Amino acid sequence: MIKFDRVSFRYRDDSSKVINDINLSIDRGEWVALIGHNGSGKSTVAKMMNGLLLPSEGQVFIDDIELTEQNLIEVRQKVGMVFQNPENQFVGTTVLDDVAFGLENLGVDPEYMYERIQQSLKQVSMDGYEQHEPHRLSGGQKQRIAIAGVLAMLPEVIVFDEATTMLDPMGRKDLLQTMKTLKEERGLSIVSITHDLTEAAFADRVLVLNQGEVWFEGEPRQLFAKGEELENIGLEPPFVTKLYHQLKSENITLEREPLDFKELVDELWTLHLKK
Amino acid sequence: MDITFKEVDYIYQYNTPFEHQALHNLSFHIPSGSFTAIIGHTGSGKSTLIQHLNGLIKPIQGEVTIGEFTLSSEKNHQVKDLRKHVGVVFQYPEHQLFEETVKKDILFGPKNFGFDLDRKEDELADVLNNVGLPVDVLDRSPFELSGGQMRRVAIAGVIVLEPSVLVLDEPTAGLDPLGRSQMLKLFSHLHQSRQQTTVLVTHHMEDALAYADQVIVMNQGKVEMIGEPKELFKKKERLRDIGLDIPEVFECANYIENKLGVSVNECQSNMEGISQVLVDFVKAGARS
Repeated sequence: MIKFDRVSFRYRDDSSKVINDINLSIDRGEWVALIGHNGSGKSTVAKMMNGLLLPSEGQVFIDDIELTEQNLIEVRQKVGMVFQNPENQFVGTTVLDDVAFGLENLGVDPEYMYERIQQSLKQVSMDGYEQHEPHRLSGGQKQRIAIAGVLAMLPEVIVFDEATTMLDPMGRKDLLQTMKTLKEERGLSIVSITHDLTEAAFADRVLVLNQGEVWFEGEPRQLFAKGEELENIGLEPPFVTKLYHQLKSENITLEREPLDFKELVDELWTLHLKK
Repeated sequence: MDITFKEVDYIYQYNTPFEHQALHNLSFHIPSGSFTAIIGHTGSGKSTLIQHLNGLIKPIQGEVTIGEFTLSSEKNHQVKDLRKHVGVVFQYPEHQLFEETVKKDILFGPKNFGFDLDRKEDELADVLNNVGLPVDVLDRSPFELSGGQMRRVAIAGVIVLEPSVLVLDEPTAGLDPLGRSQMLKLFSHLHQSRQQTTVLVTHHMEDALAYADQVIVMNQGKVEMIGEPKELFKKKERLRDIGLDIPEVFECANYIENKLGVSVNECQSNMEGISQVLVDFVKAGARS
């Protein structure tokens, strides 16, 4: 679906590389978390996924077609982006207008357009809000309107660039649930960019960037198993990882690295029953 | 400085068709020298509350007392004096930087309030040290710095005034975990070394648990609960009803109690305690 082949990026010709010779691929229907501390290059990578930035060296492929300045428009329809602060992107005075914006630009037939908007709003559980002003919605609702605007374009991939960071804990949980539904019901590929490892547990695969290079690639479980090494690159191990670390120091080990505290407690329970 | 809210009402666009009541009959007390966290769902009135603390807005009904200062609906001329004592770090404070150099930016507040500038200049190295910035940034433009550094400059511009009350409105929003924990340690250090009163507005229950001695939970412009963090976080259902979560360590403790049938007492509601409970559980199983 998305493929980076030896991609490097620098903002100016005389500045140093922010992204240094990376390879990565995202498959259809896959959820990949892209992780790294501030300044690790993760947002730069995100922007190269839909041509907001073009690589200084190497190539980016979307559906096996190389991304160039000539085919940007078509590619952007396939790769939608949701950013940290949806407010900066609202253009319509009502939710309906806002979600319609992208479709209007494409000149979609109004009747069909309405149908697509309805579907998109339904998918993010925001149907019934058509006449609301986007600015007056809660943070989580605004974020879902932004997603509906992207969904209406029928993308194949949605890149969430720290889309949950500004939300309160409940809004965050809801949004992650919405992302999961989109992946499962619509078969969308999801790229979530975050520095929150708890969020990474939702992904099928995790890529960790550090100083513009891929530091780790694998399943969330394998990443959590790195424990304290994570702190060295400015990431905070999740609660469960720290807890498991404590248990290991008391010689209690589990068959696999736990993804959340429920897994950990459940396994201890099974262990206990077996004895 | 003690802070007391007494039956405070605040209404935006008062006396217009658009009026919207943000605070309802709000009463609480923040003891001098305490570290108080204010938590609440988006739109619960947190920001309206803290704008009263340095007189940016005044109660429509009721009274706010901060040390010797009193704010009510009547006209008030001591607001500037009050602001010398109450420093507020707003959300994304780095957006307020404007001067040519870091030094000028930090000294803007002292200059405005008529402090002895020579003395303040001598203290700059100390202030920078406090916020974790090297002295050589002083002559640089604040706009050349990274986001995290810019935020530190903005905070330096507030603490250079040596306020008795430091109000922080989600100071860690948008920072990565490392930046966040550094920033919180900084506030905890300032709180202890300066014996100031600290008011922290946050979404992160973990932070409230780790640093605050008192938590005020806001909901729909009212105080929903007030008390010690450990006590409050026991009330899981009530917090959940108003859109708040409890810290993960408490959730985990609840889960252990239900699943394993062992009890986790209050003192064990931390990483070490929980780990001990689990170790005991496994060892007990091995014996039986």
